Amino acid sequence: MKLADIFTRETIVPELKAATKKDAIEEMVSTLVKAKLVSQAQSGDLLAALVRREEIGSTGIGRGVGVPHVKHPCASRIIGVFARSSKGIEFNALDGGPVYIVFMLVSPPDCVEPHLKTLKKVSALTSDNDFRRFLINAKDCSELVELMKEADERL
Amino acid sequence: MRSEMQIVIGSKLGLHLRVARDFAEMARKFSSKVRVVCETRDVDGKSVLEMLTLGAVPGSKVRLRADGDDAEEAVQRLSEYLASPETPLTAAAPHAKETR
Repeated sequence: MKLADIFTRETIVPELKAATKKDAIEEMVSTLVKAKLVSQAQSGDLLAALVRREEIGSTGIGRGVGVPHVKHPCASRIIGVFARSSKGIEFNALDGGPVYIVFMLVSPPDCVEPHLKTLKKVSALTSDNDFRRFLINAKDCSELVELMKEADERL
Repeated sequence: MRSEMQIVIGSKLGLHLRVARDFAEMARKFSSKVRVVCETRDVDGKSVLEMLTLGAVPGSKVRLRADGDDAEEAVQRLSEYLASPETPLTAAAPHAKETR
């Protein structure tokens, strides 16, 4: 699945209001609700599942990147939110550093290979120092949408 | 000293984040360099981010390669883990249950 189909104008948050990991995840779930990808009724359970997943082990994979992800029945295909925090969020990341860019992914329960492929794309994208800098420095949502399209062409 | 072994990813969920993280943490305990090869990708086994770029699905064949004084032990331990990542690493620090 293309990143540009997951991270769209409706599911990109150029600057998070949240200052903590839990609040950031909650804000991103709200973005999915606003985008009509998740119902209000399902959002509470999705949030709880994402928080439980973080308790098992942080999804802060280092270099300022977080990838909170979960499999949940609210998703009939892979959906997600891309968000940034210019101040950085304490994520209990593997390298101990704050997280500046977050890719949230929600996959259907039986989704294994597409989920891994999307995770692979996100990790390949964010392990590229230049591309990571572009994501951090893009000035608005439109530039971020263009970067997602460019990423799909590269990967 | 160099040691190599080919193994099959045992996790039913493939090489997902928790497996990559635990593998990298384990690999960092060895002084040897650890590389993991899957298809055409050859990555640093001590980097979670690089391990995730393998995108290895359940049943994928990967080749572990270690270079250094403890290469043999590294490949042995790491291959055992990748072949069966649901098995607790140690009795004192068991893995969280794999849920996703």
